[in-house]
Amino acid sequence: MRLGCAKVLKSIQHPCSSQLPTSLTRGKTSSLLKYPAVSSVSCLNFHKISNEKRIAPSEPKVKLTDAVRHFSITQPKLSGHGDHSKLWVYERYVSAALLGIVPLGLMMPNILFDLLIAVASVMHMHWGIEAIVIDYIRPIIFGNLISKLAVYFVYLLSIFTLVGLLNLTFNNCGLANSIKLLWRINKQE
Amino acid sequence: MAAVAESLIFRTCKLSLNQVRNVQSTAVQAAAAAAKKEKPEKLKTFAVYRWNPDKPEQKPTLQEYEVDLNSCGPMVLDALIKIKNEIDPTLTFRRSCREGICGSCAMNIGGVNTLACITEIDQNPSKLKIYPLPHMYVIKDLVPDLNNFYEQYRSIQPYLQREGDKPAGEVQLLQSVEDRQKLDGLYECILCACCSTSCPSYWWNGNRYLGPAVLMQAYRWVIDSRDQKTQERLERLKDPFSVFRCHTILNCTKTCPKGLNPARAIAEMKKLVSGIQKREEPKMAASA
Repeated sequence: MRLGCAKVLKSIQHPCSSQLPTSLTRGKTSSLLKYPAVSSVSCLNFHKISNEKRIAPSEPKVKLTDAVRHFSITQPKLSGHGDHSKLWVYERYVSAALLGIVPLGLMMPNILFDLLIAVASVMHMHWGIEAIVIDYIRPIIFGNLISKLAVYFVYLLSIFTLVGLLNLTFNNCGLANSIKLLWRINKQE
Repeated sequence: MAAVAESLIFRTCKLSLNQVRNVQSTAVQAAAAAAKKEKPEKLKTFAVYRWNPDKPEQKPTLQEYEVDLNSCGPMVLDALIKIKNEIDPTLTFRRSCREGICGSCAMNIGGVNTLACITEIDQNPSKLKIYPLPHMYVIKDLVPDLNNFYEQYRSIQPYLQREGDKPAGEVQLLQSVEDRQKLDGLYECILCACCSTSCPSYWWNGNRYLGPAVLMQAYRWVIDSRDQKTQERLERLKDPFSVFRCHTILNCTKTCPKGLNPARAIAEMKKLVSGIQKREEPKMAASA
């Protein structure tokens, strides 16, 4: 660490450090350890700070090209964490399963198929809407807070939908039967 | 005396004869020129996106240029070069090979991302709009900032990686004919960024989603039978954005000026990353 600091001082040749007596710069390397993370140093500050508080001029971080490149470089961190590969497979399975579950459930209305349709369709729609929200309500436009809230709202919406469908299944005539009832809306009883 | 007179006459005759000949030839030239001029001007308007970074307070505009197609090459790039040479030298665009192999002149022509050098000018006189690649930061006029794109390409480590091998250049790495064929349709990509910039997912999440061009190259290195870092390459793409932001919109395949199919490569990539398919074992040991 000590060596590292000395190296930094030596290598950058800060305009101010060259004006200081070498003994001073050398003697105080130990005090630099107290401020390892200071990044920006102006020449003026460097003169004002007393010996105990001297801050090592860090590597110049702003390059001339940074103004241009700043907005355009991908930070690997941005790509998000976590493993999405398993979820992607589940999404495919649920989508494929819906092709069978929905017609079967409509043909043979019973509580098991109703439950399957309710859970699978809510999952399917949740993933779809979540993808849309992530694409269109994104931090770069709406800010971190709103984009995060929007995703929470999608979860709320999905839970609300699921509760509604379960209510229909358990406390009413059943999900598949309710869908069938749609065709009777205008018919005389 | 007579001899002198004779020579004089001869001279004058020769002179007048030459004059006649001259007059005739100029007449022929004039006629040819007239004939050339009679061919009517075939004007076409090019509306080109202009933005000057030196005057950032001025909003981008579409500037119109009229070009006579009879004195212009057949491709859009020819028209742009003609405009730059003869009408407006401040027009800025990238170009290099003029034969669709360098990818420099990628731009949005008539609403389609393509290479200006291999796009023929539509001969009807309707206006042709030319924009830079969509949803990219513009440096000037038709020049987009591709730093992000190149940085993403760098992030997939687009080079052969092997474990504990001899240093490069010592031995040849073998590959069976079938394994080599898997790279067809992938290695031809010139990284012009037409596909990536036509992808809405890339528009919305260009900082996190890698985009079709880069993903196709990622796939190209994943299925290369000589590469041994397959698993590491796939691990790096497991997050929700790098690959899985692709919603199979297929704009990439539709727009690719080289006729490649990035969407298929991404679909294969998803299968490999999610583990429902494994890369085939190489048919031939790479180092004999």
